[in-house]
Amino acid sequence: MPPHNIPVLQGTLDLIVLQLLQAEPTNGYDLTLRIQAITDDVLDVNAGSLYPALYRLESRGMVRSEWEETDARRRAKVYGLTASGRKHLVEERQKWSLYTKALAAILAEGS
Amino acid sequence: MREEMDVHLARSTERFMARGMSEPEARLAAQREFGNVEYLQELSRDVRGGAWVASVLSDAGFALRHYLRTPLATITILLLLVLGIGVNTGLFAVVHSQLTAPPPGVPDDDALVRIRGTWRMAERAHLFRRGLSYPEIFAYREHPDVIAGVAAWTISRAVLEGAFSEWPVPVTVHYIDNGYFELLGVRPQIGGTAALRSGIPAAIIGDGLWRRHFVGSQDLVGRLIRLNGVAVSVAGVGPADFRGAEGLGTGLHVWLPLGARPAVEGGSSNDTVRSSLPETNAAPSSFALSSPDSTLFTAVARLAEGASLERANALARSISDRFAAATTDPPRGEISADVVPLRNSNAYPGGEDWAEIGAVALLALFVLLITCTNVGGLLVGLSVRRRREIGMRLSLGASRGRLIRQLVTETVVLAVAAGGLVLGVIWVLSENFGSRVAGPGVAIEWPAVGFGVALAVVAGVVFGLAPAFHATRAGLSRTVQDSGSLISASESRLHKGLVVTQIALAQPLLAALAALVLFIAAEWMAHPSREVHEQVVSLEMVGTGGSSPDDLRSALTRFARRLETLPEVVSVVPQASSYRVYNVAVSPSDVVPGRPTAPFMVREQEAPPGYFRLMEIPITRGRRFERGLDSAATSIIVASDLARELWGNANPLGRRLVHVGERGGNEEVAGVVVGVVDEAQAGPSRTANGQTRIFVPHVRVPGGLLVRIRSAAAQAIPLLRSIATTEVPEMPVSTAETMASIATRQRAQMTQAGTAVSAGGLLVLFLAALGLYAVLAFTVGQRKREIGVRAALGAGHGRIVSAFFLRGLKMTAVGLGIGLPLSIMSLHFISEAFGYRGVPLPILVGIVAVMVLAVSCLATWIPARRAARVSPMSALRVE
Repeated sequence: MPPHNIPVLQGTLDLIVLQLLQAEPTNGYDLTLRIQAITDDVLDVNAGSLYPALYRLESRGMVRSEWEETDARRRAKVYGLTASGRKHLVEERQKWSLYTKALAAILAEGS
Repeated sequence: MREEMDVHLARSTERFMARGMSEPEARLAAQREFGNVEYLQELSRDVRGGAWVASVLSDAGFALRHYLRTPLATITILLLLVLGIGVNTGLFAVVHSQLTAPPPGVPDDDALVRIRGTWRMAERAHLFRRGLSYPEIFAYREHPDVIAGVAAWTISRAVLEGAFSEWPVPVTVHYIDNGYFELLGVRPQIGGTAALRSGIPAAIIGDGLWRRHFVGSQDLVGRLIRLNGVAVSVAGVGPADFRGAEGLGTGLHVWLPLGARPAVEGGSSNDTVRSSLPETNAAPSSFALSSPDSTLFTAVARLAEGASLERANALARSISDRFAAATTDPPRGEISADVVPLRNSNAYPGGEDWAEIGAVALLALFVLLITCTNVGGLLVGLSVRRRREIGMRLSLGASRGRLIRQLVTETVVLAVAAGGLVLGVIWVLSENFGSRVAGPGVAIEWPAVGFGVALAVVAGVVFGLAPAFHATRAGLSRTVQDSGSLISASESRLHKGLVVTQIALAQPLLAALAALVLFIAAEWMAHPSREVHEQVVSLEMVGTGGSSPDDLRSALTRFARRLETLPEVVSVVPQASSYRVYNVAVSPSDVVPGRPTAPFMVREQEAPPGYFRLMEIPITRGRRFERGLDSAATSIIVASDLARELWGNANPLGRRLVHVGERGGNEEVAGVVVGVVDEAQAGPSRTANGQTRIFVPHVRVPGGLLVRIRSAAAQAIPLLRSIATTEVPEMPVSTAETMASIATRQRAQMTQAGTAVSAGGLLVLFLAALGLYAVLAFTVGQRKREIGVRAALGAGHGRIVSAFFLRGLKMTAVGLGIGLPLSIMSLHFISEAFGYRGVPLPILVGIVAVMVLAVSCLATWIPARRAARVSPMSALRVE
């Protein structure tokens, strides 16, 4: 039986973050919940991986952040994509698509 | 970052509480899910590149703890840095102020420019300033596309009566064009300038004059004063610090309209036609204002909007060419004009100011370099002491770069601390003494001070790099090997190199300072103090309006005759108010073989008949000047040193000097020697700036009298003044003091300057000696075990001393050799810049080298003696 919860493959966290932020700017906490919801708890992204990834992308100019007040009258730091981030997302999606096609071809060969 | 993570934790806690957990349980679960917050913050900081900041701060903290453990070394290095940075910043502020600051009291405005007349002699390259004529300046007004406004002025001296003082006050009078103050953007602090254009004779008085002689009175506007006897109303008081567009010295200043000049100058002016007040710019009428030959004026202008300096200069050249052709008696050489931004330092073209500025800048650079090499040498020494610690850290995995960064951070901490101290001292000084703390004409501007400090700090850090690289080159094994061995490692080449550099750099600096001290000493000796000076009163008198030169001469004669009737007066002679300077050479027919024939510059000292007797200067050959015999002739008297120099043992009487260059050819006789005076009483012929004094019998423009009194002259001054007031009211006495008082004042100024320069020289010597002493003392400390072994094996006291002494002398010799050509260049620069013609340069270079050698010997001897006193037992026990 395959494991229910697997760690995020190395090198893919940036792609995940950029993709989800493209859909909707959000804060770090909601981002972890969304990953869990969308993947049905399969992907395990904890704060220790997510926040460094967000800061790394921010220092590279691919995301920007600003403090906002939420509906619950709480302050939250909301992240959104920049134009450079959108461009990088397109490139990463293309690379990932090529990779998965190649991997699928290899896996299909053996079976 | 912390806030963001707190928000995340809070929301996680709420989620767990929503599942039924209690608050403490929910919080714990949230923290477990989140992970280590502190670790995550550090990780995130690293990702953002903030790790290096924490690391540098940690290094700075380590540096502070290290310095607190070595207070003596730290204070020494800090003091050296403060000294070097402070001197360098002060000198930089002076240079900056001279180069960029407008004259004191004038707002900084890029559109303000000077129009300078220039003249270059055909035979020499120097560019001299020439006065402009008023028509030449007026011509600039015909080009409003280049020059939006121009104002002329000319300066003279006058006597002011009506101040709150017992006697008339000598003042500098600026005769100015309409709109002078408005063009400069200068507003009086009291009153206004409207009265200067009103037709009523009115003046603006300077701030210094107002404070000193009008006790800062607020009710001055409208008060009547007299300038050279002419009644003038005070219109206002100039702003503090303002001394005119030329930024003249610290004298007392008055500004009058140009139209007032003929009346106030009266007989002492060049005017042949008197005009009434005021003059307007549209219709100059008097000779001084209308003739292209009357080159009395200087000008300041405002560039038109969009006009460039290049266009202004092209205009200046074309106007000067036009007016050079219009003069009736043009001097030889090249006449021109230029336009430059209005700065404090550029009133004169031709390089005189640039020479002084260059000298100051070089001085600053040398002081900084010497300080940095000194500090670098001390840091090398200190880092060698830490070699075990450094070796250990290298072996534990610290990279060389990391250690170098730590050592450089330690240097930065020291340099920044020293820079901060310097800024603090400057701030305290400027709060207490104002921005002119460095002297009149030098403003302490914080951007310049800040830049100077930053530059010096950066230099200090750069010099700290070498010791850092040097300290980290050996690993632990080498360090342990060195410390276990009885034979110490050889002296660091870097350490020796830094000391040699200090000695080399100190020499040109010392040579230049020595030349300046000798220059000042020569000037000091040219004003010998003699007993007779206590008995001679110098009365300076200025002609008032309406008197011709002949009127003034006869007034002085009348006054002199009146004084001679007084029982306490021995004799009276007229004295001059100016002197001439020109080039001469020995007449070809009067040359003595083997004696110099090259042209030289002479300065006439006017010594009318009776002068030498009055001043008790004996004639050693020939005769004194005699009334009736010498008044119209070209008789001259020379001092005995000049006679020896020009004619050796041959008889100088009857020999001639002829004019050279300028307006004359080689045949026009400048003077025929009729007598020789004793140089010991008359003072040396050659002045420090290369001019040669000769005595002439005529007084071209009488400026007062010399009065010999039977007893102490100071007590007779009030009587002489009161007689002058009644006998010659048209020539009031502007100053009355004894020759002794004049000589004392002049010598005091020279002593002050000489002391300051000598202090600078001593400082440089101290820094060089300190560096040499430090490296040798450190070497003795490092080689203690070796010395102990040598002593135990029988090496004598003398051998140990000489070993270290010779080591120090070797470094000194190398430094002297490198510094020798630098000294020669430095002296050549000084002699060209200041016209120094004193002690021959090779001798001066030799004197400086001997001084450096002597100080180095002392700095070397002391640690060498210490080495010999090392006890073998204590040395071998050292671990």
